[in-house]
Amino acid sequence: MTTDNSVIASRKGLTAAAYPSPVVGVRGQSEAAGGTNASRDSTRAERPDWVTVLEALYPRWRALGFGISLWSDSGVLLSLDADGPQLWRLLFATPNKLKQHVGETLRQFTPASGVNKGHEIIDLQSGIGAIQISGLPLLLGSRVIGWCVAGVADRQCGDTEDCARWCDRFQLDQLVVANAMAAGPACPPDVRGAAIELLAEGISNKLTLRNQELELAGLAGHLGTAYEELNLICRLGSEMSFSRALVDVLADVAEHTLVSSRAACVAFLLKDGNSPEEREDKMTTPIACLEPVWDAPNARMASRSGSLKCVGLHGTNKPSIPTLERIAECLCNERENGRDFVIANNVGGRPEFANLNPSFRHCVVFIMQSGAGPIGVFMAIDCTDGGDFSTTDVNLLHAVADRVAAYLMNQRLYAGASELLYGFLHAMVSSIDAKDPYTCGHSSRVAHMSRMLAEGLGWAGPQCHRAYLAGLLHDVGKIGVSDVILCKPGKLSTEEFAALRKHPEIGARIMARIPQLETLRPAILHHHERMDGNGYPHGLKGEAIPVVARMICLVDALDAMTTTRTYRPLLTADVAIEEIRRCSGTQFDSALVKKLLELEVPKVLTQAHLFAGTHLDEGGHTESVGDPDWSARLVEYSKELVGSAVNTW
Amino acid sequence: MAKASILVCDDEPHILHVLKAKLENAGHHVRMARDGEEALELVSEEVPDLLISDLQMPGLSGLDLCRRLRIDVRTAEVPVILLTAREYSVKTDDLSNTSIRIVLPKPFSPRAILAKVLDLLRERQDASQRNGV
Repeated sequence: MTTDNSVIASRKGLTAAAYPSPVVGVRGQSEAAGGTNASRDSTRAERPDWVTVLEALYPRWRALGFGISLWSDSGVLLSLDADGPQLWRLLFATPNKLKQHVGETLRQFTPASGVNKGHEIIDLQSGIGAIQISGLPLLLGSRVIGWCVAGVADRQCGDTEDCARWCDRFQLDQLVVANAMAAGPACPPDVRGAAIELLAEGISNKLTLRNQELELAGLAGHLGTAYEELNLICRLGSEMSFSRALVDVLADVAEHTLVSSRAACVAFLLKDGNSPEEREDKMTTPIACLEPVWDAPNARMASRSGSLKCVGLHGTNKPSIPTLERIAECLCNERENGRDFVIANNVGGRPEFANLNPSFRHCVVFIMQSGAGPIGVFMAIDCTDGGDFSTTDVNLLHAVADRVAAYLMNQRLYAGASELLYGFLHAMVSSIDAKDPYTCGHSSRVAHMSRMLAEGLGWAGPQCHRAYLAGLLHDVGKIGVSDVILCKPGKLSTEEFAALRKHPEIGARIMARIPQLETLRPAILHHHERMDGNGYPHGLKGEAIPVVARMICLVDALDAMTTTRTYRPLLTADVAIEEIRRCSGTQFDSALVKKLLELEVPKVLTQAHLFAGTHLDEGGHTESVGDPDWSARLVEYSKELVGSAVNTW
Repeated sequence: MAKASILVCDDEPHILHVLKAKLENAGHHVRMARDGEEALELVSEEVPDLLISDLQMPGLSGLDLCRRLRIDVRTAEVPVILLTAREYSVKTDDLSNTSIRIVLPKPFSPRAILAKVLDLLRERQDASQRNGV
């Protein structure tokens, strides 16, 4: 007597009762766990997730006499109903010719074209009506991902000649087969066809449902990533304002990025744009190509060491900045043509960085591009879970890099444009002041005093800035007045005076060409109006005169009185104050006079001269003092105000 | 951290599925309710360790749902993360008589929600351990 489970072990002398139940292993295990000869199967398939799903069908079909088994697309048995009809456990649990035949048939199956594959059931039994073995393809779309093999046999046919021939063909023990057939329930032959169709439908439904669940989970995962990106971009958008300091903006961007991505640490590195050459480039290059940072978009980055400067490093396990800068620089050169990022997983283990001894393993480097070329690098360093950076991470982080790049580019263009505008304004003003050495720095002082007055009145930043600009430009119309008149010592003739009085209108006309400065025109046009209506050009009275014009009128007079002019000698501050008091309400707005006196005239004058970089000598002559770069300082100052000015333009 | 049972309630299926995918991926058991009533039913079957609920839902609102949970001793301590659409603001008064611990505006970051879920679960675990001692 043998205890071998194999049906082919013996062809005689065994009764079904004496035959031990085959050990199929735990239900749902692949047969590798079952028979001792399992390792002979050439391929050991992974257990796909649909196996568990379809195993749920076993009990129902077991009761109808069907032995259900699941096979891989390459014909390897994956699962067999351990509680199913004995015959099928015998036939499929261990290697034998029949099982081999079934496996091969399945492996070699090629779907017929044009057939509705969902109902393509193949007949796996050969030449015996009493035993039916059907192969039902498991389809994912139109691809066969595996098989369900359903076996059913008549109970009373074990001793027929057909059965004998069949057993002979597959080298099976007929007696064992017959006994197994006799045990257990059997499906009547006339309903088998319909039953198999039903089984196929059941399988198809289960698989469809399963696939839909998988698709849904996949979609939900992708949607989650999209949410992450959407959320991040929403947050970034609200942080990126030009009125905030760059480091603050980058810190907030980093904070949001660290929440939404797997990155443990992020860094922003910018091309160092502060060398004198670069500043010069910036000043002499047209705005559209202000940033020729690297030679061309796909050129190698400048190899000059230290050209990338870290301006923001946030997160956990921050690496040392010099190391980071070096590695970023090296990685930038590794990018493939056309790509603007480099995924460097396991960068920490690279021999070329061994001497840098980087404290991190993985990183992704995104090259931030402006129109003309790279402006810097956004770097993500290590994942919070210790893993590698994946495509999903790269997509998300790429969105951040793009946004930051756009922000930086806009910021630079904006700064460049405002520098250009302010540069021109100051050049214009300087050229007027230059016409008359007596008025050196006058416009700047008036600008500053107007702003001090506006601030004293508690005006908001943009309004104060407008007062400053109006003060700066109030005499711009003198450009259209002859030098002979401007510099003439002594009294002017009536004609000359009439020509001089044209300057507010000329100035307003000049300003009309700059739409952004439209709001300054009334102040420029009316800065020689008087409260009593005796001024020019329109003879406006009191409140009808724009308030900034009234301010300029006051501080313009103050500056004129306290500096020597071609047409009259210097007045002391005290005399000037007296004069202002005397003219309060007639020439000047008395409320503004009050405010100016509150601010203390000598202080105001000192600050104005300090700011304009001029010195008032004892004779009341102004001269530039050791600071030929005052207009550059003015530009700097104006840049500070750019954020507030943007709203007023 | 042990596998937690989390109930997600929102009338927008995409929100449910996004949260389910994110939380299941982190190893938690997630049940989905499409409105407040269904959430109450699922809670009565099994009390979750945590609830994530939308504020604006047809029928029972997120706040109503949380108030109902608060009056039942079995569910009173279940921490809640409330999701709100941008146009709705939740006042501090609204949160009284609920166990709402965190209010998050939509669109939200699934990663941020997962991080907050973990925080709340850890807190809860610590609290129960202290009570146990």
